[in-house]
Amino acid sequence: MSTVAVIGGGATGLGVAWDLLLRGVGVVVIEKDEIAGGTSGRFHGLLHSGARYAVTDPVAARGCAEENAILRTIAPGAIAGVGGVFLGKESDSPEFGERWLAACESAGIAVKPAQLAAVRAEIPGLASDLAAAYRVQDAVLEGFRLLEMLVRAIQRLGGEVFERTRACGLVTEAGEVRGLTVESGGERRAIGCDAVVNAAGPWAGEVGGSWGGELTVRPSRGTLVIFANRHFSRVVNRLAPPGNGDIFVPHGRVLIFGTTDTGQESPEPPAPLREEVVELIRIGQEIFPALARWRVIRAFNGVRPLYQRGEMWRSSRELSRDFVVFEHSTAGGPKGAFSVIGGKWTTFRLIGEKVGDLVAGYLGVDRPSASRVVRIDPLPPKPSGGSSPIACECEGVTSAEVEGVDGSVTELRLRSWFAMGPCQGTFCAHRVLGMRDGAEGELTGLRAEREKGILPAAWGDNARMLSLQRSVRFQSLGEPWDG
Amino acid sequence: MGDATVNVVGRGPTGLFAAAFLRLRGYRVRVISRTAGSLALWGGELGFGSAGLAGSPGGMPPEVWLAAWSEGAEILLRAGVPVAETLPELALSTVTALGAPKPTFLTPLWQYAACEPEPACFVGLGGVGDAEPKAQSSRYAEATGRPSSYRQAPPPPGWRPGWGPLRFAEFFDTDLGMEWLLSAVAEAVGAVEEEVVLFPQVLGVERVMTALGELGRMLGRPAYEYPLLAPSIGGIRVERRLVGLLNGLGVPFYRAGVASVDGGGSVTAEDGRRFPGDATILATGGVLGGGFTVDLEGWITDPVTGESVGRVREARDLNLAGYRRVDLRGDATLLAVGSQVGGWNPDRDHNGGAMILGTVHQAIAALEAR
Ligand SMILES: Cc1cc2nc3c(=O)[nH]c(=O)nc-3n(C[C@H](O)[C@H](O)[C@H](O)COP(=O)(O)OP(=O)(O)OC[C@H]3O[C@@H](n4cnc5c(N)ncnc54)[C@H](O)[C@@H]3O)c2cc1C
Ligand SMILES: Cc1cc2nc3c(=O)[nH]c(=O)nc-3n(C[C@H](O)[C@H](O)[C@H](O)COP(=O)(O)OP(=O)(O)OC[C@H]3O[C@@H](n4cnc5c(N)ncnc54)[C@H](O)[C@@H]3O)c2cc1C
Repeated sequence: MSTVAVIGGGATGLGVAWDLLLRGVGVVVIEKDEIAGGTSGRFHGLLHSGARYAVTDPVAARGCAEENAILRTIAPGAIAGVGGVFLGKESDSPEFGERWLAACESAGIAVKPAQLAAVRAEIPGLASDLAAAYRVQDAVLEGFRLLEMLVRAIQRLGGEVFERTRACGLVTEAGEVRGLTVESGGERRAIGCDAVVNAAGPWAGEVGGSWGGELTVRPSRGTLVIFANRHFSRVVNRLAPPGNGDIFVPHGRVLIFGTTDTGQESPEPPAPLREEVVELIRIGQEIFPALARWRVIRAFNGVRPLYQRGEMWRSSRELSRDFVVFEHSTAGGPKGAFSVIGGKWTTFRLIGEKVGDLVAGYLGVDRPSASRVVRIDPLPPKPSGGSSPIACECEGVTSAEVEGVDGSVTELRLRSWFAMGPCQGTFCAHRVLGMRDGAEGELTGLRAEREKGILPAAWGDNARMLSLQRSVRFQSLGEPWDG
Repeated sequence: MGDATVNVVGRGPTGLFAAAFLRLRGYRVRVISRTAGSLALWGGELGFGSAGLAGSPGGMPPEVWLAAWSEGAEILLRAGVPVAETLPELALSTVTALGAPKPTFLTPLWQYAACEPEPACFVGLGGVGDAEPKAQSSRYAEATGRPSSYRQAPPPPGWRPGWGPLRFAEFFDTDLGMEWLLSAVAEAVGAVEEEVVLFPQVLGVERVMTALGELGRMLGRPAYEYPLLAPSIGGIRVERRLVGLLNGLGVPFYRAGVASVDGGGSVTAEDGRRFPGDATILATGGVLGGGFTVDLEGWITDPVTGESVGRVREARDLNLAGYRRVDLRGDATLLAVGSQVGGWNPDRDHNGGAMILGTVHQAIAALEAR
């Protein structure tokens, strides 16, 4: 049996691994941090209907529409089919609306006109000067959950997933990939494999830059704001060419709003800027005039792995303006080295299938892709806390749940969801980390990490919450002052 | 101006202390506030930084400080908050919910505070979220170099997950709770080697001193509490007792948001009510209390006076912003006290209590000079 090493434990990497595994190919997934540590854990949470891209990128739009339908059948455990609306304002030019309707129709995207009064009844707080409303099949994609479902599904079929393991370089023999060197906990080792897929998202340029050909990724960050309440249960889109601050997604108990698009050098997400958050609020006020008074939990950002058309461009397969797959041997690199860049969460399975076709072809495996039809099992229900005391009140996390996780603080936070609610760890961080060794250092780290997201939205009651958090830290708990 | 009427806006620790100081000097006082203040968020131990009485922040002569602190202690005693009869010379050391030592100064006697941390046994109570006695005692031993051990007592009968500190405290204020404390808990603690035994701060709002006295007798060494986070039972005890004292002294409380203060010192509320007075004291807290609001651009403004007092760029700016002076108009008709006054840094210097007493004292001096 052939084995493929997949670099990157995000949606793309796991999608590729899953597709290959279903064809009978062995896979090893290598992730430098935690699963979901990259862009796939820092996105908007929208399972696109495709309507957003109908005008600007019809291929991507069609891909989204198809994948939307497929994912609802194969992964219902990670999707909330809330439906979405596109809203136009009186001041918007009606011309775009007409183009958009035509483009949706030709891409096969279901759009239904809606009564404004009915939409207002479902979505409180809308501006009074709306002119048009359409319903689409938008849904909410629970990214963390789907990644965990994928990891379990991959492991169940014998695939391996190594977290906190960094891919360092290819091992080649006679111009063919024979393995991958990886490093974890300061130790280097080689993993034997017949092909390597670089699915390192915004880091893909760093990882595959020396594999032959010019592989340039242009990282672009998008900032998102999390409101503390789920104000409504529909995805709300602005009926306008894709731009900043045009989508609201209800997620569990919160609402996520964004985004922006700013090019940057580094693949790492920086601290979100106040200017970006304020700009978002100003734009969003056009749809929800009271937006500045909605309580914000925090802002965060993710980095899009946009590819730059370089020398390799000619040898890549342009599947849409959305994602590309490179076979490095076509640019003088070793055989069996592949890179995939770009895409969306919504189309992760499609990307997996396309990469799977290419890689399976290289390996001489002729089983076709099955990821379109095989169900990904939902997660088992969270065990009830029983008589265990509550450790994090906002998210109802019990001490038993916290004690059940070993790993880094980030892992603990992402698994149990502690410190993720409205208080952002003010009243629970010391408690949860107090149960662990090395608590002081971890506590300082977690505080800085949480504050990074709260500060750019520190106005109104959000500012009061941050003031309280700091009083609790320094006055009640005596944490060292950070000034 | 001893028989003048003073509006105190805010009923956090600063407003309550200001009202008591003024009433005891003969002023007619009324307390107007939108909501409760910050006392339920902290233990009610008044910090003075690590400098003790020797350093006098705010440029106040040491003897003035001493008088302010003594009067603060007297007010607490009159209100029924037990504090030591004599002021400590130096900052005392108390212990945080993490088990780490922290400087304090005027501290209610239910809470552990000593000049030098002593060998201590930490007791946890089943179901009290912040009580992690194993982690606390090891941190305490590490930070103080003093021996420390811990005990874990079971949860009380009838306990359910989700009981907060206030529910525990209500339970210990009942006879059943007291009985269980002195039997099951005392038994779980057993013989202790350390000098003091420390319990989580939930031993009743009303009957805590009785509970600690009995526990101390049974265990053969002094029993105290260590503070937890919000809601803080220590702060709630102080708040209830200070409000009780003021009620007894005939100070009326009004629930109202204050919109403005006119040139003479009278107050207009957001709902149009007017509170005539000869002076108004703004004890409206900083950003946390609502005394300052922060706009989208980060500008920090007092909504009552309209004055801008800073801008948030770093997180620390939030708790540092404030007026540079106490007497805002120079004629003692409008005075800012507590977190309204910048230049103090309770986050870094642990001088929250000093800020409260120091600014209230300066406000009174301005009124008296009028
Ligand atoms: C702000 C924002 C909002 C978005 N919203 C949506 C949305 O609502 N709907 C949607 O469909 N799409 C959305 N997207 C797009 C989508 O999130 C991304 O396209 C997708 O998550 C990319 O996944 P990925 O696996 O390629 O990258 P990543 O998730 O970043 O995965 C790459 C992984 O590779 C790892 N890695 C890097 N270097 C190495 C190495 N040397 N060794 C081992 N591992 C390595 C990284 O740690 C990382 O975990 C959004 C994107 C952004 C930025
Ligand atoms: C978590 C925490 C821990 C602390 N720990 C310590 C400690 O260990 N030691 C120490 O000495 N100090 C401590 N402090 C106290 C702190 O340093 C301040 O002294 C204190 O919080 C400020 O109290 P205040 O009375 O000025 O304001 P607050 O308590 O915030 O009260 C403000 C009051 O003003 C009212 N108000 C505001 N605007 C209006 C309006 N327009 N109209 C009507 N009413 C209005 C509010 O409703 C409220 O009643 C702590 C504080 C906190 C929050």
